[in-house]
Amino acid sequence: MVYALAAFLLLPVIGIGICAAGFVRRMPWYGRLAMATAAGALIVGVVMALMSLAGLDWSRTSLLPPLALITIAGVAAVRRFPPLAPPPAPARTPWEWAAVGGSIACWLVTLYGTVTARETCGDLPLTWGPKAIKFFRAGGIDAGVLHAYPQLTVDYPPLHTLLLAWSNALSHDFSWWAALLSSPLFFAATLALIRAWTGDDLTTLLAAATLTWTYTLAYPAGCAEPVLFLFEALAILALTFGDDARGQTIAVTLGAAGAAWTKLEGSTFVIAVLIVILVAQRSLRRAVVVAIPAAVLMAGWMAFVFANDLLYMYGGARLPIYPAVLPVVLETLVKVARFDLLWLPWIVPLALIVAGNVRRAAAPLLVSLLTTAAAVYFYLHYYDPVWWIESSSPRVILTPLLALLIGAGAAWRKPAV
Amino acid sequence: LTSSGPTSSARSDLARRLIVFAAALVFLAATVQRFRWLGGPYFTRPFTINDHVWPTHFLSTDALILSQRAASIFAPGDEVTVVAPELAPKYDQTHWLTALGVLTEQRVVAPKLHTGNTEDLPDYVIAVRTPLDHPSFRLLMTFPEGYLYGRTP
Repeated sequence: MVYALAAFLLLPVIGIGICAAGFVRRMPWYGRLAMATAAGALIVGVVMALMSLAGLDWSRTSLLPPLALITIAGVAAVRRFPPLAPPPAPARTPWEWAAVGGSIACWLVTLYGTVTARETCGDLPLTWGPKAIKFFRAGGIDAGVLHAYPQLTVDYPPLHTLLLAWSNALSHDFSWWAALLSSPLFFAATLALIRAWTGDDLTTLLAAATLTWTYTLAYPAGCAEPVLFLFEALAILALTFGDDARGQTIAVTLGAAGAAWTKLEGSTFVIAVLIVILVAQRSLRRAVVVAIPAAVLMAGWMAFVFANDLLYMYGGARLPIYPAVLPVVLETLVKVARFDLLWLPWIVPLALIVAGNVRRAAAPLLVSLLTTAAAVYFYLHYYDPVWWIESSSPRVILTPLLALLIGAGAAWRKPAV
Repeated sequence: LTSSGPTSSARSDLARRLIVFAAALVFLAATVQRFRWLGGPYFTRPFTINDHVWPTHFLSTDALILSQRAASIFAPGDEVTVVAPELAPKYDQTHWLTALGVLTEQRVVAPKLHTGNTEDLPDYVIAVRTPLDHPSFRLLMTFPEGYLYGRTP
């Protein structure tokens, strides 16, 4: 398990090059670490996919040299552009120290829930894990594996599977516990990003506590959501708090590309982000720049899917829409969104947004609305959607919730957009 | 990275702090209560990654354990499936899919035990909890969580 877990811990090392970017250089250490984790995850995924494309089998021996070269280039870039001292901040108040302690406590509780197998995603042993193992044993992304086992959500974007296969490659034996433990690692990176971009301990505490609770009901450990939320949080935070145009574009681009390549919902998230850029920022150029890497990655994956006749989940777009089930979809979604606490996870950030400056929270609010609408649209494709909504939406609606939580911080801070 | 600090009054800042801390306490307390509801033991390493996901025991957890226990018996390339016989003939696919990630050297297949075609039958069947009653399979081993059957020649 140690090697398998080390594979995830190596991600920020592999992605260290992003720390040479100007906006990352000004971040506190934990922000740089989280940015490097996101960059490292995407780099590992892209390198593994390119190796498959080139017909090179995955192994420790074949994977480490290209990744080592990327790491060395990243280290050289960081040596040339070292971290800058963050802007002077006032000393933390006792409230803020309590918020820091509370955030850490929430993370530890999530870690406990994960290591005691209380938050395990049901799809890890059924699809994510077997697909990663089969890919690793086949030496790469293998259409034959997907044809042999069509139950393995065959056309799903590959990044999370690739990261699991990466941990398998480093340890040789697939470690289910390392796959689980990657969840609190990505959760920590997400919280670190929220703290780094907002500069606010209270926003971080609210996000930590809300996600800690909702994770217990959504069972994300070992599934793709913790990775997805890292990329989504990065994109929303950069959209909302980025005050350096170039840095904002780079960060949103990384977040969008990672999200699109992690889950099907990531694609609709990217569309939501592009709409926000076009509507709230009125920047066609930025929208195009942000869209290109995500589009290239998805086009590459979909080309593989179509070339090998593997269309499955994305084929849902061809299904008819049942407008008549809209009341059922909404009713079931509202029921799931209670999160067993009378909608408190939603009420608190919404109340803070209303009590603060709503206009400053416009970008995350819009992302939240659009991703909720996208979820409703997806579920309208099923004539009897109740089971589907009840089983998948506890995780799906965490994206709009995450956007709201970031919005709650934005409403009390001055964003750049 | 933020352009400025808070802009609201000290009183509303205090209200915000109180709301956030109160919410955080509620969420944490709810989480601890949920973990308690899921049941113990609380400080021992679980046997499988599914051990405490629900207060009641899942058959798929048994499928996971049985697959691990039986793994050493199979040769590479053997065809294996996992079923809960009580669900016959509508077997739950989560049981055999669970084995897919454990029996990595074998060919784990969907159960086709009642098609009448002997070519559909796998080399081995792992039966979760209840015995399998099938003329083409004989009992090889018994485990606390179920049984292992091999195809009769």
